[in-house]
Amino acid sequence: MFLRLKQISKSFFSKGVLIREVLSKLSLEVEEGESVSIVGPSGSGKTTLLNIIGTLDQPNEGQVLYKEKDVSLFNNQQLASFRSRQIGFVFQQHYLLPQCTLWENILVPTLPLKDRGWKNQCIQRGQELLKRTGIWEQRHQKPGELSGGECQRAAVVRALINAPSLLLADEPTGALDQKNSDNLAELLFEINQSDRVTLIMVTHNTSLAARANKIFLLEEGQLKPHRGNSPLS
Amino acid sequence: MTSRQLIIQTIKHYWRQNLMLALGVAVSTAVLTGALIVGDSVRHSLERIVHLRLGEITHVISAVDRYFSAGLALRLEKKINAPVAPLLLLEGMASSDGGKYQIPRVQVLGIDEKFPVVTGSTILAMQHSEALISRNLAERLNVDLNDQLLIRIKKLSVIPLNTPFVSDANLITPVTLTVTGILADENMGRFDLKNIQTAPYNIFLSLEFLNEIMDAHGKINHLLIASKASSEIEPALAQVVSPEDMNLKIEFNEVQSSWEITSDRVFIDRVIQQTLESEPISAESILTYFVNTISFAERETPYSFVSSTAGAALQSNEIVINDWLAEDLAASQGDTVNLDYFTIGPLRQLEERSHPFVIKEIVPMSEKWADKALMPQLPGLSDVSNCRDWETGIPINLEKIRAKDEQYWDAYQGVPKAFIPYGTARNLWTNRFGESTTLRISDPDLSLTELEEWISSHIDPMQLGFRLNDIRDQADLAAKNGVDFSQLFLGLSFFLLLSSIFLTVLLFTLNTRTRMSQVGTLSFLGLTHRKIKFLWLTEGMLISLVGAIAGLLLAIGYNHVIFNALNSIWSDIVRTPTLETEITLATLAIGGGISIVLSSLAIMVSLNRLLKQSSHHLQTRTITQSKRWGNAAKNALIFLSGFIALALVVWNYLQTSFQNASLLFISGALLLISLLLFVHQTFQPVQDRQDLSSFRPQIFILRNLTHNSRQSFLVVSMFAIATFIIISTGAHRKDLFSQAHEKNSGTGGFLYYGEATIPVLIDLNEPEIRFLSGLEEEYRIVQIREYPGDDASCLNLNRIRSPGILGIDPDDFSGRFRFISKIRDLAGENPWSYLQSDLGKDVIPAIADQSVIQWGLGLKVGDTLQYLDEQGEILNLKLVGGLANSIFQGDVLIDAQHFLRHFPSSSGSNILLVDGDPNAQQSIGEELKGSLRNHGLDLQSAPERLATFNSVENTYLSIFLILGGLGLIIGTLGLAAVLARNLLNRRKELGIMQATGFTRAFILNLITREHFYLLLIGVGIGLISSIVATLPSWLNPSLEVSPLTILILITLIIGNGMLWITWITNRFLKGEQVVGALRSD
Repeated sequence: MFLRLKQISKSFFSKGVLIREVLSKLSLEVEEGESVSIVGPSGSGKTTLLNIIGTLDQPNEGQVLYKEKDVSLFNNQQLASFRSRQIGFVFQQHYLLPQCTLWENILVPTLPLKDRGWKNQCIQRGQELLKRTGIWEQRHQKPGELSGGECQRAAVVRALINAPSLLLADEPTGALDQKNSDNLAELLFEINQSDRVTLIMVTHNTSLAARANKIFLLEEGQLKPHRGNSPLS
Repeated sequence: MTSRQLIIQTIKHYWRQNLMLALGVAVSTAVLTGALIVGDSVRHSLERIVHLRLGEITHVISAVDRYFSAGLALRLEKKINAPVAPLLLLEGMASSDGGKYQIPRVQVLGIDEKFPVVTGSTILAMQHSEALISRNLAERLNVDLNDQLLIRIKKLSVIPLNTPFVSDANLITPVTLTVTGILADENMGRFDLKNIQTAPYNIFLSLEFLNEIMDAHGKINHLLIASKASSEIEPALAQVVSPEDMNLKIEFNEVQSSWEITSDRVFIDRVIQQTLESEPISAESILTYFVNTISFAERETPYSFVSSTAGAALQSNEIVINDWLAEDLAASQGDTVNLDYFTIGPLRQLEERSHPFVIKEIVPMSEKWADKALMPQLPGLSDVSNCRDWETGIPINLEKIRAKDEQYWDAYQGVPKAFIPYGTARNLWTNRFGESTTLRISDPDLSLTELEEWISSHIDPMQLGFRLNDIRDQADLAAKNGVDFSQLFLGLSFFLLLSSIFLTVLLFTLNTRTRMSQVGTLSFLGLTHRKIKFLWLTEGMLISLVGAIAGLLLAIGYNHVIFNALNSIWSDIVRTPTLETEITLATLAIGGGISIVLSSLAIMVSLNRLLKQSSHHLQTRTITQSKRWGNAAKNALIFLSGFIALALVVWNYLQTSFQNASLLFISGALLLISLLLFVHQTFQPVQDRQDLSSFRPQIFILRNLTHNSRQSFLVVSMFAIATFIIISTGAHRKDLFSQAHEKNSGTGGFLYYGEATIPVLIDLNEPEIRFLSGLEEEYRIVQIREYPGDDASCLNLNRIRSPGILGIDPDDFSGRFRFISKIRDLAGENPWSYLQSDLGKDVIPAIADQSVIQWGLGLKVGDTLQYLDEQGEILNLKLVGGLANSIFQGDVLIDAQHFLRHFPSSSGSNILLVDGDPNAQQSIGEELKGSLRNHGLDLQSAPERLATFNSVENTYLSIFLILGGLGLIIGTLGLAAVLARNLLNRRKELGIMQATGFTRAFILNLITREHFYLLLIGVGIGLISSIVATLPSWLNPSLEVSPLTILILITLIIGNGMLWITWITNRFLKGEQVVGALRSD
């Protein structure tokens, strides 16, 4: 199994007092190359789940097994390396650095890489992805000079430059208009299929969610299989 | 919602940021106002000290080395209708407890009942042997009421001490006194006629008693006046001064049937002589001299007076002798006799000379040839009954004195045995004290009163050395124009002030940028920029006002701390523990007002820059940097300032061998500007069109630095300026004792600097004198004459116009000391010899310590100082050279010959410099102190004296360093604020980094490096510029610069910055903020 979440629970506390249980003994299995959409009402814990999968956050209980390895056993160094090599993040906002050009933004994930051969491969991959996503000509421009769609595509390229096996997308089209939203969805699923990058996507957009192999509704801390045309909240 | 509510809500919401902003304003207010208060307080204290030391006295009349009658006070008082008090001011040494406690150079003041009137004090009258002493003296001597103390007073001598034939024995009068009162500062305990804030040691005696123990009658040397009618005093003095006040004695000589005028000073002042020689008085000048031998063939007559005469028509080489002498020598008319006599040079250097005369006539010992009045009144000579009791200023060989000489003395005393023409006598025996001993007026119709009135009305007392000093006005002026501690502390706090203003600008900029989307929103909502500016400016000013009020309270505390330090650990720069705080509303208003204006300006400038952005940019929080200056202009400025800096360095080297420290400091500052502009230029965001083959951390860091170029530049500037100031200051700090024995150091290589209360009248290098004085060690003594004046050294806070003058022999100084500035003519192997130059009538070359010239007098080399010499003539001292940091702070040096020409009454040397083996310093010191005990020698090691002066400068530097250090802390707060704000603004960026696999250590490394580079660039620029600014200190081996101190300072600056950077970043990254930043639900 590519990714297995076992009995994940996550609660938030304030001064030792439980405020809210977001995830409750949640389990999920994802095969390599699959695309998974997670839908749910605001505040249901979608982003928290995505952060736990992406090792940016830790569950209170349960295990995250990546290719049957328990990531909770990783130390900080291994976690960083894991995220660098295996995971790509796309967020609702592009979070491109305004001080850097598009190309420099895309290269930011290569900064900590020490393996020169691998670094060169990443750079080459970045160039290919830029061309593939149609923003090659804009590579020397800064985020402030580009449209939201172009920036979000650049954010996807940034997420993919290290050739991750798992792409986590948190409301990737949330800040885009319909046309740009469609284009980005096309891009994500194309990459999912052509490069066999496993895609886990959190979204409110039902049509976008419906394009995934599996759709789950996150409700009361549990993932439930969901039909794409059902109302989410 | 009203504007007021919006402003209040905003201030409340952003209270943390506003608190920081208010703190920045509070610090700048405190520094600014504190400095002003310190200045006010020092000025107030100096003015208070003026009142303490003078009371109600407005004017003082004194005379150079001259005493006049106490009756003059009463006559003048009647004339000007204002209180006038006589004062006899002498110097002495005091001791108590059998010599256990000793104080040299105390003021012994003989006063009468007029003194409390003129000073407005309540000093009680004293009986014989009673004394009132100042509190500081009582403490130093450890005496209380009714205790006894011994004082040894410099003997009052109406005759200048170096007058030929006057004995130099018994120069001190010892007296035991009972302390009947201890005077507080408020009751004339600090009485002092010198413009200085340090308290003198005072002993008050009754004038009558002091005169009695000095064997004088009604003699004084000062008149103290309390009168506002300044212009009336001098004419009144001229009218009431009597011949007696001019030390003249008028008697009718029955033998000669003429009036004869003699002087208590032996030789009659030239001014008097010239005035009385002229019409209508037409006095005849007579000069009587004491010769060693009159010889003819194998026979000789010892020790005789010879006088000039106009009674016989004599050729210049002819002589008239009396029959007693003719018989003694067996000489006849036409024979040639030889006169052997001493001429007396400075320091009683005797030279025996001989002159032949042909006997024109032999006269009987009767009538005018037996006139006893011709013998001058010489103590120890004219007043003893036999020759063997003679006590003169020249060596007397008693074996030469025969029985017949004693018989002659018994019968005729000092009746001259021979007479020569006056012209010849004047040529042979004239000296700086005069060229006549008697003036004879052969006018039987002239009455004594007429003659006295004629003399009084025709001789200006100012020409005799009388001086009217408007001491009160001068003292007030000196206090008002003294060291300006407001400016000084503003200068010393300059960096602290700059840092706090920087911090205010920085914090406000950061705050406004954080909230810049609000400006955009408000614009979209229809508020005009004018309205938005009003809202934000009002908010800023309210915060500034709060900060300023807090700052005023802090200023009072800051002043309190500074004053405590000035009265204790920093007392080196004020030399008085009596500083009092003076806080005025006006000063608080000025300090607070300036601070509010400054911070409001800073806020307005930041706001204006921000509001120039478009509303879209503001709402999307993307700032565009406006380019006010074109690149070409900025590049030109960088090049120009750099070039000028370099050119000044080269010029300075070629012209002055790096002697002009001010110019080098300017070079350093220009280089600092050039380098900072270069950094500013480099930090501008650039459009990089190249395809990067890899993205290295350095490029990433550069992108971050240039993205926030203004903040980065502010941080770099702050650290550059801090380093520049701190290193420049640290490098100028003087090692107090380093190389102090070198000849080119500030000690001139001398071991000791001695000040004698009683002047030394003899040459202490003469082997015979050394033997007699018990000076056995191998060393040389340089003796210097002193004309007292105000202390113009850095130890005196008052602005001085007339420093003391020292008369030196330039040969003694050849190859010693170092000149920091000099006129072109001073070049050559021995620049000191230029002091002997003749620069024209009444212009004398002078050398002084550069700090005296620059700071004490506010002049420069080439300028002229004006004095009145002893004859009342204007004397111009042209400053031809400035010494580097020397033991001569406080005085002006001129050639001894020039000195004696203008101050002929000066007797002996008060300043002694000792040149010898440093290894024998202690034994030399002990020997000298022992040998010159009766002179009240205050012997100070020359390196220690120099260290005392240097300690003032070092204290200033210490204050500068401390306040600079405080500024650095403020600067570091700025860096911390920038860093914290950067981290907050970049939370999502850091989140992305973590999400894409950056370890915390890597992120920490990136952030730390980013800010470390700012720190390093700032410190580097400051260091390079400061090295240029202090090049002489690095290149000149005699000026110590401690690389270790510099290294420690640099390490402290960088270490302090790094500590903050690492701590804040680490603390930030440890939190969970990073993940939280990326939440979208």
